[in-house]
Amino acid sequence: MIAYNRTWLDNLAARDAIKDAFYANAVSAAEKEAAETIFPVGFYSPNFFIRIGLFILTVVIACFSLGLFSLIFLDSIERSIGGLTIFFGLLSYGALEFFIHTKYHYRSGVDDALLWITGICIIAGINLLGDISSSGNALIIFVLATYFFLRFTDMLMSAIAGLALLAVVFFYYSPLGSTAKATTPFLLMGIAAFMYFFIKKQCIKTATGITGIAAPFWRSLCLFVFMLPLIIM
Amino acid sequence: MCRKFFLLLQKKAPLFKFKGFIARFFFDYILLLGCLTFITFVGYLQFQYNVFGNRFGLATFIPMLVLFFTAYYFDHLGVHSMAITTLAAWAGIAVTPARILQKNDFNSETIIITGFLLGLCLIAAGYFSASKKIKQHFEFTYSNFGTHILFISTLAGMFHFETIYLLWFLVLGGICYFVYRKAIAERSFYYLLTGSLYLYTGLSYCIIRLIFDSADTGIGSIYGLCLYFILSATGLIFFLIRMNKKIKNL
Repeated sequence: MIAYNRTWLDNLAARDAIKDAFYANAVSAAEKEAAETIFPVGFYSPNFFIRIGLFILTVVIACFSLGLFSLIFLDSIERSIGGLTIFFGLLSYGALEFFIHTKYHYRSGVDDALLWITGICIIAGINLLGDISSSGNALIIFVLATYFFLRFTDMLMSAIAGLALLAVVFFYYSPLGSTAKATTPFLLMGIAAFMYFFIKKQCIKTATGITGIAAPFWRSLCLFVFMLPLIIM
Repeated sequence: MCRKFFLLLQKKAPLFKFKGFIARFFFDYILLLGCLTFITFVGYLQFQYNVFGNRFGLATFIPMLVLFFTAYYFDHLGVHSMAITTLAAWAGIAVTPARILQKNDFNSETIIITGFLLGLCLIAAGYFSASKKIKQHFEFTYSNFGTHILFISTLAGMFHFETIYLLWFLVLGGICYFVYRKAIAERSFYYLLTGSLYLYTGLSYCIIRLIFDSADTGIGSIYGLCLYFILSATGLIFFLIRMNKKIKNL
């Protein structure tokens, strides 16, 4: 399911753990150097500031590419804008998969930007095609964000997926009657608590190596779920 | 409250020294609180009692002096940033006539030139701080504020002085070259990114002007503009990727 190379993700997690141990003076510099050859990582992950730059520039390219598409279909823009935006979103998704599989981008800014552009374009396109209710939007966002989170292990997508799930429950459950309205906050808190304990359990399993699932995947989910009850409270 | 914070610091905080870094954690927050309450107090005095009258410059000049003294005396980067911000506010207010301030009209040539000079002064202060080894760790704060103010002023100059915008663009290019050299020397990705993005903004403005100043401003020029942004941003991405590798290998 995860788009990135799983072995490299695990190696990256191992490298991070060794780096932490090095800063805690538990591992020597030579051992840290040796770990880099034992755990090879072929991802392209530039410096944080370069990542910001690549993100901004990818957004610029995407915006003007969409502009160019709109110009080409200028005569029928009012009818085709929804479909065009969805098509552009799918094109961005293709580009995202291409960059991950052939150029090995991982948290490079390019993949981050393409992920967001895909999500925004698809949701905007669906809304442009027809009137979508708040509950419908919450459901679409939940499905898309969950897919992106599972495939690209993105922390912010996990946050959006969780919040969208709560929004779905809120929009579909609260109109059911006065009792439902009164119990909605408790239901939301209950769902958040369930997610919290479920993921905490998964984190412990991952830490002991039982599940063997790539660490960044669970780390991002854990971080979100640890934050969620605070947001709700 | 402010008086109490400063008294506590005077009694307990480590003493001033020109070189090196003074490490303490609790006092940092007390100092920050002291400075924030002081600025709030000065602001309250001016708003409620109009102590400084229409001399708005004085209302920012006094806090600026206090903040600079406090930053150097207690060796605090946060207070130093606040002091530079107050310096910029004072410089802006000092050169602006009261009637312009009252009209909230900040689109003035004087402000652009002042910002430009202030940026140069801050970069010089950073260089002086590093070369004379007087609070060397303040160098980044000076340079950071200086480069941003300088870049923003130069871009504002390009947008405002329409007849000589190419001259301002040349100045922008010069500053970018300086920032690029600094980024290479210090192996700083941050300066590399800021320099590249500001230069890209300036260059794009020039291209847009050249396209719209030409006789043909039909749909073809819009196509051209879209293509320019797609190709130039792709080029800049390749440049940043190459520079990322180059700086890493330095």
